[in-house]
Amino acid sequence: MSEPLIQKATANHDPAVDEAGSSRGLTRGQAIAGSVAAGGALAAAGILAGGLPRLAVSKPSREQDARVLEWLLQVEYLQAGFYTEVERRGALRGELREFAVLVGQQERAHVNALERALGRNSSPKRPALDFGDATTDSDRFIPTAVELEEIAVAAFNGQVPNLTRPRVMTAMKIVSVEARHVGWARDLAGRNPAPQPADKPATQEQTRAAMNATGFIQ
Amino acid sequence: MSDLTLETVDRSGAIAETFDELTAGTRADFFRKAVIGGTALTAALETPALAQPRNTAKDIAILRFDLNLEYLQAAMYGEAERLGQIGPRTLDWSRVVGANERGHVRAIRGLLGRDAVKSPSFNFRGVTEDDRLFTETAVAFEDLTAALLKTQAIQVDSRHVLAALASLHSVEARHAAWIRHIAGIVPSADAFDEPTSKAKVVRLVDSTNFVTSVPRTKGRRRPGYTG
Repeated sequence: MSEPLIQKATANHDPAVDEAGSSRGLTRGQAIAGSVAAGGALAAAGILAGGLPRLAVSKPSREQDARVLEWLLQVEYLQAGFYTEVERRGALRGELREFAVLVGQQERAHVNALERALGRNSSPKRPALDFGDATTDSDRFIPTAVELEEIAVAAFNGQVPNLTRPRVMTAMKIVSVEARHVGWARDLAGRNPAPQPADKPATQEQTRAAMNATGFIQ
Repeated sequence: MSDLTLETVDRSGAIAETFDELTAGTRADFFRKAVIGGTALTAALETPALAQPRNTAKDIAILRFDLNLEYLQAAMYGEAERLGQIGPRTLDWSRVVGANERGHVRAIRGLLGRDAVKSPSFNFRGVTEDDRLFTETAVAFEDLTAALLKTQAIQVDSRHVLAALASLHSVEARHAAWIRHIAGIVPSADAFDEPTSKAKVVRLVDSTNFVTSVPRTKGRRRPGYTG
């Protein structure tokens, strides 16, 4: 791996932080300190009073595994499509490019793994995607990457309890990497990479709404 | 900097099976409590959000192990924050991640209810005031914790516990990516993160000599070690 490039690219990245879009002018440290205070309150009020996921699931089964994995594959198609186009259009430079190329490889590997897990009986549809200038404009690229990775982390976390044990492991091995992507992307964006002690899981409906809200799915 | 591995931190031989002993000890403690009956269940029901089925013995053992690991991380990052000797980016990291690990402690204590254990005592032996050592150790702890939670995810009996561990697991992976980025290591080196065993985590913890005493309710004592 190319560690030196990463160090170089990080060095010239703007350290100003804007977690919520409303705190311009704060230094990174100040913004992070602020979000820690908020995080502490969330930890107490959120995690303990029901922030941990509630379950509304039926008993895991192979049939349910297939439905869940097909659904998670749609999330991976969106991500893989995004980074693949970034690489193809070649407009990004420095660590953003490096991020997009590496993460793109990994998202395509997730697509392959899920397609393989689903087997030949399944014929998932690839969505038609249009990313506009989010794949070429560096100011749009990184917030979009953060958003897509957050959607994936929440989607996987929401589905993990619905899966049989072998597929729980499949999903955990992937969501861990999605969480690394979001941590990396947020640090690149000067945002707190881990603003809450627990990642809120999303239901399928919430994930679908978030994916549609990106406007990328045609 | 070359990629950090567990071995970077594993600088002394393993001394005692601190954490193994700990879980063995607490497991015995659990059975003792189980005889008393519904006390823990009642306690759990007193907290409506956590009114879930009683944890199985296996889930209690897993959660207690995780609780100790969270205690260790929360204490280490909290001490680094208090001392303020590490670099500015690492200090930001310790502030945010320390708060998250304290949140994890509260969450796991909530899941365990009366079965929660107290924190061991720690001595971080200068690691919390040395930027390089702190970073290396933090990378190892965060990578290993994320890997361990995968193994536990397929071991736990309760899907409530599974859902909870999953929502903590991805936060540990965020921490790992962030500290790696600070260290100039690829934050996401592989397309799939592999699981690891509890034994490996025990070896890492032992190798650091950070755990100086373990709360006990009974049983033999091993000679304390002073490092």
